[in-house]
Amino acid sequence: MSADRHASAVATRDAVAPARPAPSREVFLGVVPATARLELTRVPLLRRLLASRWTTFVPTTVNLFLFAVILLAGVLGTPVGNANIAIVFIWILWWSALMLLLVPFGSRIWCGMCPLPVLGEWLQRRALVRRRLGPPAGRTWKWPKGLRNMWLVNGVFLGVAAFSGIITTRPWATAALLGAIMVLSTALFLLYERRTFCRYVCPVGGFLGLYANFAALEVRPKSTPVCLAHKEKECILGSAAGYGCPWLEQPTNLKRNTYCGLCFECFRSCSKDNMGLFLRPFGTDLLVDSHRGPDESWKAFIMLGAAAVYSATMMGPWGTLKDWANLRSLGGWAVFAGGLIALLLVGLPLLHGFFAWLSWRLAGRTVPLRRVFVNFSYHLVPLGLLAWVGFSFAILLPNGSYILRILSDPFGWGWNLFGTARLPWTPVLTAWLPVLQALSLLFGFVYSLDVAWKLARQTFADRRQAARAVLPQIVLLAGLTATFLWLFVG
Amino acid sequence: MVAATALLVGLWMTWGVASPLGGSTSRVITVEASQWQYSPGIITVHEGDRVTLRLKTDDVTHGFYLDGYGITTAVLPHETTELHFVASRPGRWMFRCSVTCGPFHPYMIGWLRVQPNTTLRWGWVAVGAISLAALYAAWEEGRGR
Repeated sequence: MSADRHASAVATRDAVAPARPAPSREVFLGVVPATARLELTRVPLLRRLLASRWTTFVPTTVNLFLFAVILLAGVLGTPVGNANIAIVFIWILWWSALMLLLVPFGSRIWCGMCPLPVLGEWLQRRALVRRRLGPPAGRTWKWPKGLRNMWLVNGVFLGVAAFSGIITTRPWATAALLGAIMVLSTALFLLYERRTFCRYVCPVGGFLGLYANFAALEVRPKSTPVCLAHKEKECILGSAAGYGCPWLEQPTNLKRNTYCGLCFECFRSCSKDNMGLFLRPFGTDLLVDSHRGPDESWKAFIMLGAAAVYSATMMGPWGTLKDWANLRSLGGWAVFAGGLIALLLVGLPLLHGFFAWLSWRLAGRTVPLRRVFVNFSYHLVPLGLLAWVGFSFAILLPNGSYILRILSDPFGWGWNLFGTARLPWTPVLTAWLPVLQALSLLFGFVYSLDVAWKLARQTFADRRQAARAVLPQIVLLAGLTATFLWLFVG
Repeated sequence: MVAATALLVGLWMTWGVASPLGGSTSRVITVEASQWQYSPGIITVHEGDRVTLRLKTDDVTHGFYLDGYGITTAVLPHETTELHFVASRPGRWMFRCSVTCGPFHPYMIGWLRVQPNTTLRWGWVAVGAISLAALYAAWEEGRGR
């Protein structure tokens, strides 16, 4: 069995059952049908671009060059964070771009141009751009079955979050983190098949995967009958023009964005030209009642809680909290890290569990409590993402002017490459920050309510049971939104 | 009924918006800046107050930039800088260090609350009103209507 066929067998086994599509009659916010789609690949130029191997190679390589500069700056540049490209590009530009634009409107499009795993992928394929036929390099092991979920990703993210006060302010720490991810990913690419690292280990990939379900962009087959009739399954096994899905997905049966890295490999491998890129309503995949699990629920709790903790630590007025996060004393940091982990792993799940239990009781205990707990956790995704949007406004607007300075002097060595190094620090539109943050939260709240009601009807067969079950969820979402409002503008 | 409840809640929560508490008064507040915090971290005044901030520091040079007002200054170690302004814009505004002072500099932030905090109150009113409407709709649906 070739390595490609072997991997495809794993992919086939992983996809336990065909996903049920989003209910066709659902309408988001009473306005946008869940089935509404706009196929972007009808534009011939875009279609040609996505089918070209250079479309992945060029942005990835540009980003790899940037990350090399960032790694160098982390080691050799100034230790002053806001004068070093490592901090300014990663935690001001990249993070804000991710939350404000790339995830909501582009799903996991970042993964398609991420430079961190690319060395490993090139080594594994033994090729840079062209499709190289034959078995890949390395061992192509299968990832352990017990780890084929988000639990490991959750753990890695929490580990990074505990040191966030250092990592986001010290260039050397940012470089160490990125360097460690690059080394680990390269090693795992040589040991495990395809993009196992991206799917099951990358700390960024976890929340990108969950929040991608809210995104307004998707890659899907244009016609299911074409896929069913096409026995070669080139998108899974690969063809002369393209590799089998690097993400171990079955593009023919793709119903959620969680593990679609938008590498567009299926556009190249499919000889039927049956893959499309579609615009769609926000939140569509949150209604797909398939492949849900507590690992993703906990990812939703972790991301929602992290948005609150980071807002309090970085945008709050509490110096003691900053000192703790900043590792001024080991005891203080232990309190910060312990509190963070306790809140994200236990506190929020307990709170959600209580409201899920109330919903379960009110609805007459007609379905397993676990199903109620897991299903309702997905309505935290819109609110969580929009809380991150609010947080990102607070990072970008006051600190965005550092980006122009850094372009001229990335290492903080006194260069002035483009004449912008002496620009004064200039906060932009910070007078509008409270309004932007409040509006972001309100949009997230309304969308979460809408998704909660749809999830309730999906979970409970009887409409009246669903209506009773959603009552506690409305209270929970209102409480969470009011708390975030206080954090942002209170 | 929902609209009426929401209106009542809204009126209750925004009481004071149209009539700020008290007239304008002069406030003198001493703020100590240090790596990487202001003390006090939260300053509360009322709309129309004439505010004098006395900014002091004992470690390194720090800055002070007040969102929404665009006021900025800096203070050298062991010196005091005074800042005068009228709290004309209600709401919660961040003040932040404007002179690079160390690794946590971008997050050296304090809050100025100019009461009444209309953004917060209207935000909470909106959350309350939307929640009540949603609860009412779900309640009626649950009763089979």
